[in-house]
Amino acid sequence: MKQYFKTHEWIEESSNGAYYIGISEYAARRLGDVVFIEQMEDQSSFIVGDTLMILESVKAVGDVYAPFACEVVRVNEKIVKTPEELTGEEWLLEIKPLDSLPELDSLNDSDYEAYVKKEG
Amino acid sequence: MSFPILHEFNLEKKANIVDFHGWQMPVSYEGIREEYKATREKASVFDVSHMGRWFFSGKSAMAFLDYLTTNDLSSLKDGKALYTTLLNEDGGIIDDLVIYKFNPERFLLINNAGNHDIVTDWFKVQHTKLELSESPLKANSQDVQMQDTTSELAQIAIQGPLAKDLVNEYLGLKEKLSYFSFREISFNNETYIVSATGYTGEAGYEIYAKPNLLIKLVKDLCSHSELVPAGLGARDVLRLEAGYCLHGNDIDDLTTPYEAGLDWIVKITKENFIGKSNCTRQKKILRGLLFSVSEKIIPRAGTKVYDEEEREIGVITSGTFSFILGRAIALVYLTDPAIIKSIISNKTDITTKINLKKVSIKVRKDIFSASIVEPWFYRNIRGKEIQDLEAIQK
Repeated sequence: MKQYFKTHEWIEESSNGAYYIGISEYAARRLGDVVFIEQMEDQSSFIVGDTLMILESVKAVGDVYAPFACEVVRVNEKIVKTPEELTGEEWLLEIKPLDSLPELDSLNDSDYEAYVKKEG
Repeated sequence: MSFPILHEFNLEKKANIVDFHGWQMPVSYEGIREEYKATREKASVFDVSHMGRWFFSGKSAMAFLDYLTTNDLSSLKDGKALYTTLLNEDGGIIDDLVIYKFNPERFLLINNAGNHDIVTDWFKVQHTKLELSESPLKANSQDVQMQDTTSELAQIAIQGPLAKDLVNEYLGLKEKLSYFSFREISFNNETYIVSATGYTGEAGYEIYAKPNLLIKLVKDLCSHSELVPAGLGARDVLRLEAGYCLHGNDIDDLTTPYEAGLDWIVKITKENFIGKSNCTRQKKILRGLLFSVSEKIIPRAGTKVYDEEEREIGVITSGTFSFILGRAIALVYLTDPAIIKSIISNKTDITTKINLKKVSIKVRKDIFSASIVEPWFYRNIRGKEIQDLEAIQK
């Protein structure tokens, strides 16, 4: 099950204690046509709130923030190569927590939907 | 809060809507890229009813407008439009306008939505000033009627290679109008003004008529032809590729037309117009920035530009990703006095005459390099010549 954050990322457990991370469909729509996806190539580990990836669209820039201290174990190369196909459904990175997972300030599907509605 | 004529249609189409100078405008419908592509390859429609529309009439209408604006209406033929600027006394651009000449006593004037209140005040104040003046210019104010028709006369733009054919067929118009020509036609006993103008760098028309007529035209054509609606997002990419300035971004009341590369619409030999003595000032000069394909960045307004010695030489006022060139592009004001002097004295190709082939911007610690080029990237306004920047500007 996906867990959402107020900064519009979602995570979903993959395997071996790792997680897929992506952005919500709402965020993808708001961002509009993404043209470039930039990875933080010179950085191997991230603390909570660090930028994991930058999504550059015609109209805006969107950062994908680390929801917990982590390392990147895999990149969705397909979406990096074809950023225009980003809908929010697909994962962007697979990340592994550096420590045991702290309690996350996350929202479930319906709570996130309500949050987005309120945000406007 | 104001609503463009297609607001209900936009809601039905689930357009992404934003506030634009108090107007609830669509940024995109199906996506900026799709709408962009439709405009360059087929045809798209933009709701531009938020623009300001005025009729000027009377025996001194032409003299009054010629005194207020920089281009030359007196030598313009009836049935033709021109692009012009409205300047303050200091030569700064209050707004950029399109003016249509029906005859020497009747004109339609279009101003930007965001400047409507300022322009309205300016017209009134200047008219009163002339009326009260003791100079011979007083005559320019004697018989001028100004009518703000923004709400009763709406405006849409249909742009793209198929645009003229679609509109001609719909309105029963036989001739394909040439660039900056217009006709006032009657169709089903209603009046339409059809004009071969636009803001996309593509051939097409702008159409003026009562709001309900244009709503119907858009709905009919969108359901029975290849026409698709397009929003401000696509419009911004299209206009930037064509190198058209956006007032508020690339030009403003502190910028002269000579600085913005708009000296071609200033008829400096005209006897008198507001701003004439100051409008040739050049403290900055507009140019284009072409990034290489490998530079994964969208340049944003306000970003500083550096030369090879890392000296700050200018600032970006608009930037985007050019879909047709597959790379980032921007408009930049060069502000370095030595560079400006060199451009002014050489007149011609600045990229070779001064050592400015490569410049760079810094974003988030990273450096992205670009070339300085003439301030336009692509235009196909006459429907045949495709002017590719790299071919032309090399």
